[in-house]
Amino acid sequence: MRNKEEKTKGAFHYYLQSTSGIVGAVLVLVMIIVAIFSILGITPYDPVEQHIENILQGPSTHFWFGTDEFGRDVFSRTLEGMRRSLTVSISAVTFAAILGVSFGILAGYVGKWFDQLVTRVSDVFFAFPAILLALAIVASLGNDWYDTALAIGVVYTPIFIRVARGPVLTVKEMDYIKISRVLGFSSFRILRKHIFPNVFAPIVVQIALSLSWAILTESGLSFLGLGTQPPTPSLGLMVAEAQPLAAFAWWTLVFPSLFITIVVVGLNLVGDGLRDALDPARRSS
Amino acid sequence: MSLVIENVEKIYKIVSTQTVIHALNGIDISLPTGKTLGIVGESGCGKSTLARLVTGLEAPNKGSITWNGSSVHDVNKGSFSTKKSVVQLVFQDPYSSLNPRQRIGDAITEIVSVHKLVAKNLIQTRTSELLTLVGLADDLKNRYPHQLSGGQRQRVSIARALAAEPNLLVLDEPVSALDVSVRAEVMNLLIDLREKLGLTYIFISHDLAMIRYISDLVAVMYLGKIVEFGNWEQVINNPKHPYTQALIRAMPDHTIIGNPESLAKTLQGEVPDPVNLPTGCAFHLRCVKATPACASTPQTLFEITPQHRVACMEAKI
Repeated sequence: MRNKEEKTKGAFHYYLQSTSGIVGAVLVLVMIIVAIFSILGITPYDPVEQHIENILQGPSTHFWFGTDEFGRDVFSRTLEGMRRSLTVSISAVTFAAILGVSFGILAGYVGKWFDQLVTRVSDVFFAFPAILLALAIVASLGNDWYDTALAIGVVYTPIFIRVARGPVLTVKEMDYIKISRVLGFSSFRILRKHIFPNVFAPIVVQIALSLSWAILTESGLSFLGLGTQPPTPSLGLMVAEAQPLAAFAWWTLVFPSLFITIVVVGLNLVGDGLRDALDPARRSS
Repeated sequence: MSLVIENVEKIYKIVSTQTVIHALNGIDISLPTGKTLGIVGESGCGKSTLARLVTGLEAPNKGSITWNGSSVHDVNKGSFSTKKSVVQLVFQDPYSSLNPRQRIGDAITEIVSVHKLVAKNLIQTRTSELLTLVGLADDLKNRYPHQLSGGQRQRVSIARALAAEPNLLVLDEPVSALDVSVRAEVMNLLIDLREKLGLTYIFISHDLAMIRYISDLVAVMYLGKIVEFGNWEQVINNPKHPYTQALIRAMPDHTIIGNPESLAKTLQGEVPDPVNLPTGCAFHLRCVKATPACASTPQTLFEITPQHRVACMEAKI
């Protein structure tokens, strides 16, 4: 017999048993807190303020991460850049997840011509390398943060269509779905109550992984000069600006790169942890 | 008051190979209220297709299925219907029949509340009542399906079907996947429920022992056709069709031990491909009594004694 305690153990309990999950969560949480500091304006300096007397200073107690060629505080700029990266990628992934999951679940459930149409269209999007497609969309939209978010969102929508559609094809053949139809439940109820909860796990994992890719794509776009425009800082833009300086002012390149790495690794570890926690077969009992 | 299946035909087209499968071919049955019809046959004979048609999951290509004069396909119009059917369904596999992410209690209350079958404040009482009816403890309400045994899950499936207050219950191999020790319990539960609620059953199985235990009427199916139909005593104790005779001989029985002759008489060969049905009687390729005429003359059901119909010309003589 199972005891009461065991019955109520949820996915969260299993998440805490995964080492990579915990490490990932801590890394991501630190980055989120850092971004919140920037939103609240709690940075040592204004990220665009130029301290002309302190150009290209190395890390010190005054400027923790040093200053760049305009004398701007790299630490403040990194926090601001992290905030931007997170805002853009969270918006983009939210957009992609809502659109992609809706279409993916519907395509899998309805089937026939609708499935054909949705699959073909997403195949077309898949045929382009993500960064090229995002570049093309940004170039036609503009340089505001929401243009970048929309471009990345569109690029990642087909991934969510695939991730949602596949499991639906399996789940809709289960006997409990047929029985739900005989029981006279509406299609909307079947989709919401009986299909969605059973395809939820891979979608959650995909959200975590897509966030990390979105941050890379956003940095990539800014690095190429099509995302955030100077003087507003963004991690990718800071890396681009630091390129010619790296040989004699390593701090301008290392700190923004390090932050990108930390958040991307963190989100990937969170994805691993979620996968372990949500898949009953992987749970060690 | 009865279920009438009239001249039902079901064809599946396979687009990729351009072939047509005749899953059901001229099915004619009527089943009075309160009775149990046992359907028996090998895999692929169309038993489960018939179950899907009777519950309205699929529509026949030809013919009609009516309950008390109204078509089961009108009450239950496929995926966009929100009406509950008078016909409910219990499947074989207790693992795939329940939504793994829904608590047992919620699965039952969902039906009662969606169709507003009782007043709002009585929903929980009704759920407990249904669980008690199928012999489950009330505290299982908060469990998930994976925390139950196979037998318990199958009882939940039955309770869920009953929650929709059906008149006819289609039981598609309801005990085949269960441990032998649990089978008898579930069979007795089904018989009790039939008496208590005045239900009509269609009981599908490949196990003649189970069919004999629960059925009033028995239909023997082979390749989408009924080859013998009648009261269970007649069909099982006095089988007329060579296929029914072979099935009954194949039942594991104490007489088979040390009796090699009886083993030798079991059915040989495979069920023919339903894409290329044999000419004449579909069974003639495996039939011990087949004559050259069987290969050319299709057989239809005819009455040999009242309430006992057979599709075999050898039985006629």
